[in-house]
Amino acid sequence: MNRDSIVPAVWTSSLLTMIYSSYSFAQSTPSEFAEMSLTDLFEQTIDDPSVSYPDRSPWSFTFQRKSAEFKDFLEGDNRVSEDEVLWSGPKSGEPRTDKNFPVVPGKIVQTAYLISLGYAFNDSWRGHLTVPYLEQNTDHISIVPNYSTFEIESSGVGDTVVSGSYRLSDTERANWWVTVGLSIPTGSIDEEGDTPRAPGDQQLPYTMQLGSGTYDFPIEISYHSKGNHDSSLALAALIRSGTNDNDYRLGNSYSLAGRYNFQFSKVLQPYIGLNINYTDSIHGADTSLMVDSPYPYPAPITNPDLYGGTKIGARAGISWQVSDHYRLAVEIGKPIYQNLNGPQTREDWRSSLQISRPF
Amino acid sequence: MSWFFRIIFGLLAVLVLVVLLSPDTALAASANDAFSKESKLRAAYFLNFIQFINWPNHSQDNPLTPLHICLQDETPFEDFFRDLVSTAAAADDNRELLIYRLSEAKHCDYTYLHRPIQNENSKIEGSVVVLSSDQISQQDAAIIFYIDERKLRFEIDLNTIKKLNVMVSSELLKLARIK
Repeated sequence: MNRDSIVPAVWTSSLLTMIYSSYSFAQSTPSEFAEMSLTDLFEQTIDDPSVSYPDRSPWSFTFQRKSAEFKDFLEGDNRVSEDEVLWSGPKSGEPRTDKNFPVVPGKIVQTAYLISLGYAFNDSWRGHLTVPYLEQNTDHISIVPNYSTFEIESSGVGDTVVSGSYRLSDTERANWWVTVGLSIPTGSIDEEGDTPRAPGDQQLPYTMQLGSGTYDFPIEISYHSKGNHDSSLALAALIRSGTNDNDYRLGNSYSLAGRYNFQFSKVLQPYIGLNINYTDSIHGADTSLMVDSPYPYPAPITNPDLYGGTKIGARAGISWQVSDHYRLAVEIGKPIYQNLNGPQTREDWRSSLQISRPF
Repeated sequence: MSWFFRIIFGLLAVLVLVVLLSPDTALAASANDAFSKESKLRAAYFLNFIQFINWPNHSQDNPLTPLHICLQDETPFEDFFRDLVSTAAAADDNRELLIYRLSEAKHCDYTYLHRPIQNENSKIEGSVVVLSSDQISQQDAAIIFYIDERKLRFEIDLNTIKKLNVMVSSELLKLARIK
């Protein structure tokens, strides 16, 4: 599979679809109503998009537990064995290169608990505040004496996101939302732990930090088709700005996610989805992670160039309307294609459990 | 690769800005405040029905015969309907639509009522009368709007249609509740 041809084609086609579908924006002016056929009129509800309904609560609440596990290595889309990535040391005769390291991660487990509070100002404008709590754990093997195997952990509050959503359109057939947010760097970028680099605690690698250290801008435009085939498409980006106090900036990420909901029953709704994600490598470098050597990176996760890449993932889940107000959803996902700036630990699977009280 | 995504998101940002700042969007916001969507739908239906009704004095041989449309009195409905007529691409280009206030009209082919009339029954004699709601009653109303599951629907009284000697298209009858 050729990433350079597939990914741009998917993005371009989605953009064209969105432009082409702009006819479905909310009808309001005389000319828009005049263009509607009798069938179009017949499908319209009398609900005015600018009017709120007093029986609905303006507040929403979501609690989500997301988990992801990473293991084994990829360079591009090729598997690389742990033996190839682990440098055996000067006595072995194996040459040191910028693709092998004296320390390598085995398995990385990341868990995020997200609490999100939303407020609907009216049917067209919504605001959200999301605060994550993160737990991260990585086990390693190394050739450093007394550190042949070791584990590092970090946990704490991540970056807080404040966002506003505006409904561009809502018809009987579909709706469009645009969301713009600000990610405030409340997560630590100075997490420390005991690593082979020196005795005692030292700065942990980028993956183990809890925040970006920069003000970032999440943006999303989403389309939800409500017809016989209930499906949605979301184009999103996380744009990083500036450089943090440790002299680096995490890479921007861009994603396109599609989802199809099956009409199993009014209460249970299974769904499947596909998402494409591209992330830049890290810009700049935290020099405290480097060692004084011709090869300054002791582990792949300390090299800022060995982050990012393209991932295509499949996911499946089920949403359960537990009561009039509460919804429970579980989801599991697995990458079907990864092309990483490597050697980099590849994603193995991810899961999500969510309970929400929607608007 | 990243340059490609930057261009795509730049284009998207421009697209969103254009949509948000376009005059239509601004007009939409102000129009919504003044006039409900339900009333706009009534006006759009009222105009749309013309294409599906054939009046006896409007034959294929004489398509330019003006259609006399009567509205009850000065309301936002009238303003919106006049705007609809002036911009309607869907309306029959060959037919001139003349809009009158009922109080000023001498003859009506097609009439919209949002309340029963008292003294002007003679003006609507032979007219296809459309009632804004089934909550009001008016003798000889041919089409009556009603609400069903948050949607605007309409009922057609076939006996009245027969008496008026107008032809109603089967496409319109398919969507209507028949009385």
